[in-house]
Amino acid sequence: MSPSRYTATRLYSGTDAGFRLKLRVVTPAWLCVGAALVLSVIGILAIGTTRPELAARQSIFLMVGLAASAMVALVPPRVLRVTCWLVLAVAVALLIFVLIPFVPKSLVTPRNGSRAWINMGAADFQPSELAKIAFILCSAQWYALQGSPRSIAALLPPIAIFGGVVGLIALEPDLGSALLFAPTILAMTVVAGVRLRYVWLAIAAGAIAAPLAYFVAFKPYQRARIDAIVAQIKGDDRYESTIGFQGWRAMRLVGAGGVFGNDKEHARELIERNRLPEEHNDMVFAVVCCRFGLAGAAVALGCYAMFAFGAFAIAISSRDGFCKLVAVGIGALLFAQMTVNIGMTIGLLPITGVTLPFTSYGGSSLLSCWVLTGLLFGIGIRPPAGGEKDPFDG
Amino acid sequence: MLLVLFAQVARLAVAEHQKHLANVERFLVDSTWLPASRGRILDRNGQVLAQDQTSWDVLLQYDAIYGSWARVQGRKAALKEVGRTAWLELSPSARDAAIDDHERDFQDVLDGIYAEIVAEGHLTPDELAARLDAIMTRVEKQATSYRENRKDVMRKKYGGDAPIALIEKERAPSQLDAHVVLENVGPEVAFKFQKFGDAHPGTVSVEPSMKRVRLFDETKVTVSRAEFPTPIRSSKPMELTIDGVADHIVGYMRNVYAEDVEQRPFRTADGSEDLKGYREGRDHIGSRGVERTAEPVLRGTRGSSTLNLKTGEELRVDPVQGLDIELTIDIELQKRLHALLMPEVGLARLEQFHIGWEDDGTPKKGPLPVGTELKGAIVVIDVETGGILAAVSSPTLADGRAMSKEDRVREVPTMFRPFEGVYPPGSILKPLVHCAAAAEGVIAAGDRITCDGHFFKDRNDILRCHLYRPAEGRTGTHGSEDARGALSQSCNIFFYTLADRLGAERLVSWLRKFGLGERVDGGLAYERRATAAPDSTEPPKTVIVGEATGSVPSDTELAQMKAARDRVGSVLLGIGQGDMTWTPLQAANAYATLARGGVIVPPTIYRLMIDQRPRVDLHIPKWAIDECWEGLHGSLYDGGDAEHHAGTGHHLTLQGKRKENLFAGRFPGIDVWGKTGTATAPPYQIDLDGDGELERVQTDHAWFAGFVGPSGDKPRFALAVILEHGGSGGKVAGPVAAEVVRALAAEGYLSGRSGAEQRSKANAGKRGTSAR
Repeated sequence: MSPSRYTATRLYSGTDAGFRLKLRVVTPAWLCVGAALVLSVIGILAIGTTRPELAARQSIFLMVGLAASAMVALVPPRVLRVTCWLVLAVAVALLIFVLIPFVPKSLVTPRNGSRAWINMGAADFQPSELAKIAFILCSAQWYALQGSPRSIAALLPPIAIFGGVVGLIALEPDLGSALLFAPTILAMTVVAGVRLRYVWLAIAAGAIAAPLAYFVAFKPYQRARIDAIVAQIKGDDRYESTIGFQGWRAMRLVGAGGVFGNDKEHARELIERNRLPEEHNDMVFAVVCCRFGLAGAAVALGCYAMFAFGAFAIAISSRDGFCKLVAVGIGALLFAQMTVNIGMTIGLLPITGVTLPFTSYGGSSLLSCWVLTGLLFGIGIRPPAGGEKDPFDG
Repeated sequence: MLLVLFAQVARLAVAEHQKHLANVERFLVDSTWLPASRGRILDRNGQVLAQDQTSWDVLLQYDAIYGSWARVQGRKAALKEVGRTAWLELSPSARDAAIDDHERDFQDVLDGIYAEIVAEGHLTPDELAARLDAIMTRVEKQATSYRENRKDVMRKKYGGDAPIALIEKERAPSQLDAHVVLENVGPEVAFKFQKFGDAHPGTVSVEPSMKRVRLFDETKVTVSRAEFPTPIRSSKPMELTIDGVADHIVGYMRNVYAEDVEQRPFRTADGSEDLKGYREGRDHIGSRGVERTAEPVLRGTRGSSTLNLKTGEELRVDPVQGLDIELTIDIELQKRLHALLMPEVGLARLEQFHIGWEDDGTPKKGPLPVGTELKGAIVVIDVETGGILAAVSSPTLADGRAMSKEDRVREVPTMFRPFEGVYPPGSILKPLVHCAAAAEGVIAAGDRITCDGHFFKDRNDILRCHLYRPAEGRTGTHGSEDARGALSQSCNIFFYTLADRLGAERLVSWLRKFGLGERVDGGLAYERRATAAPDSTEPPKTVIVGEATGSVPSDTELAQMKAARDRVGSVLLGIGQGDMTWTPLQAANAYATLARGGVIVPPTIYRLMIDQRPRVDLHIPKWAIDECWEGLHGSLYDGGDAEHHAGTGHHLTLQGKRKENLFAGRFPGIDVWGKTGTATAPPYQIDLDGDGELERVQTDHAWFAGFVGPSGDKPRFALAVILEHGGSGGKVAGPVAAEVVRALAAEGYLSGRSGAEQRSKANAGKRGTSAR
């Protein structure tokens, strides 16, 4: 079967053309929605442990997120395929916009080190969240157009998008968010059917680049953080009072939760008296563990597992290349984000400014997670489209 | 991946749960310590010598002193604006520019606070700057040593790959602390600065402070010079301010060192807290004097308040205040005696009458020139109780602080001369030798010995009497004399003979009985860790400081003298020369023993110690004591005639051979017994010709020891006076001793029956209430 069978015309006149909404009721998409809901609620409870007023706001964000999710789910993939390039253009424009130095502070307020937010009045908007969505959609669309990307040339556009978007986000700087694009594009590329040797090549390059970065590119403070996390993993507390403070506090609070956690008041006292920074945001998992213990952590991790399982199940059941890749991208992105965040909270990874999907406080973070969930749901709830055969099975 | 994450959470929450829980729960309790006030130090009449005083201190946070506060605040504001990660990406110049924008506002705030400190402290801006400089120098020095210590700890704990570089950036506690810039401000000023501090956290703060104040650190004294020797006599009393009255006795407070903590740590080895223990860098401890020796009593036990921040429950242990300590010292007498040793008063500065005149009327030249200021000591002991009424040392610790470093090394102001100064006894030892000889039966009552001017019949160049100096054309002798005459005229030959009859061993054993070579334990001795040689591996030893033992020949040395048939060395001991020293306290104690008829009552500075130690009767024959008393009385009252020489402490010979009595006829109703001593001193180093080089000069220490009481009553007080390198005991120490007696009389100690007791009670009523 030649790739030419999958022409643009054919793809754009898929079976879902004409907006005939013939929906599947039994779909793994419910797993994702359910897991996302449970995680959002856990997040609100955790945030409310130390910041009741923020928990209330987060509840409102959740409502907005659910609504946005529903709206996104209504948009047929057909439309997404066309508009994804526009979304990317907007995202890139906004990413460039936040970097422009003379943009008034009222519009782009540098926060926590990064020019990453645009002030939108009621809530702040983070262009990198939009970029994540655009990136997944565009990469999926490109691979879908190509069929299986057998040639290096076919890999170039996604890599270019990847490089451009990641570069812009890294300039904000928000290195943590930028790094999440790597596992996402990797997963999507693998599923798209790239020759495995390229994948191994990329992994090998990464393996070589990491120590090189440590010794050459990293600034001393970045190197010190790596040293600190290595020491922390070994249980060596020499950095506990200095650069390892946040990591150690978070890890100890996780441990302090025990199996069933602490009552709300005690957990709040512990977290506040230990002066855990960013407890409602990047460090929210420490609060989850301190408040709900290993049991709560198990529920949360189970939910993430369920979400990822749902996303991959949707991908497998989907007959449409674009939809399949979108589902894989979303699953990979959120799972990677979760791993990085929880890894740093429990003392396995260095601290980066990455939020925990659905759980961390923050309007645009929650909104983007729910938009991604909406995309997944939209894909999952529609009956498998296209031919009988897996489009990339070729 | 999920399994790894779950496994780690499980490990933390289950296996290591207790460890982490304990670690984070440390922050749930807030412990504060409740300070205990230190006991007061009182004199025998209840006058306060040292006490804690509550006042307010104004403190500046170190950043505000260093000037970095504005910068730090500016940086914080800039950082908030730019963001942490972006900040790290900025170039240094871009950072500086961003900080500069904000810094100015904060600098204005700081300048305002400085101006307020200058105004309220009545300082000039330069004075404030100097004060801040001094704090910075001290803090930076501390910080450096703190970081070095931290590095050592790190190296010990982690070996070669310890994160030393991180410590370099660490700030020492002293750099995070606030430091006192204004002391003892009133509540209004304190409130004003408190408001400043509230408005601008991290700048100025106010703390109540407990300060140890010595109330006699600066004292005004009026000295009557009406009865002084004529050359320095004046009808006009002298007003003078003296620094550091009794400061050696009271002592002072210092910061706690590591070795004090080791003695009694606040944080004990098992991790619990000893509320009376010491914390390095935060607590104070008495250093020398009563503050040191009575530390355990004076120091209170701090209380604690442990507040559970969750439940609000408070566990409270009340502090126990330190106890007051009463001394036997009479601070009013101490002041008077202290003034006598002030060079400007005239008695402790060499005058021509101290040196004398030749027969032709030309001034004699002494080893030291007229005008030389003399250091010295005075001790007065209550004969009945052994209580030390006054112990003066010149120079004082306060004087020492004003000295140059070279002077401090030479003059040793830190030495409390009455207790720590050791001097050869010289002639004031002679009555003790007579008592020893009498007790050992080598002389009988009324026995006479002939003085030919020299001890050996065949040699006139050694072991001579003080009258016999053929080279100077003086060939006087005392002829045949009894103990009374020998003592009053301080004949050397008489006591050479007694020492020869006794032998060195018996003589020294008797001197030991009188307390020589042994601490009398007057209450100021304490243990201190000896400074070990830098390369020494031996465990540090402790030494006893605060009171000296003095020295008499040891048993080995006595054996050596015997083996060498050193008759000269052993005979010399009879006049208090040779290998022998004692302190003014030991001298006064020996004379108090004579005044009691041979009964030792250990002297003390603590009222509580009176009658706590056994009295020891030396069993000296009554007739020997009587002869001593007569001799000591005679030395001051026997004016001599054509045949007999005058007593050594009888009079001063002024210009034109005019004689002026020191005691005889000048103290109606008072009797004084005394002995002068002119003891060969170690060479004195002094720059005589002003060329910057020190010359070694051979001099004598001037001694006077004796006792005094109202006529017809028992002697009440024993005293010892020494003026280092002063020369003649009679001429230099004698006039001071006369003024000591006058001071005792002026303070009411020599009138009526049992003056000390009466006066003490009267004063307790008079001063007791006002002092409290």
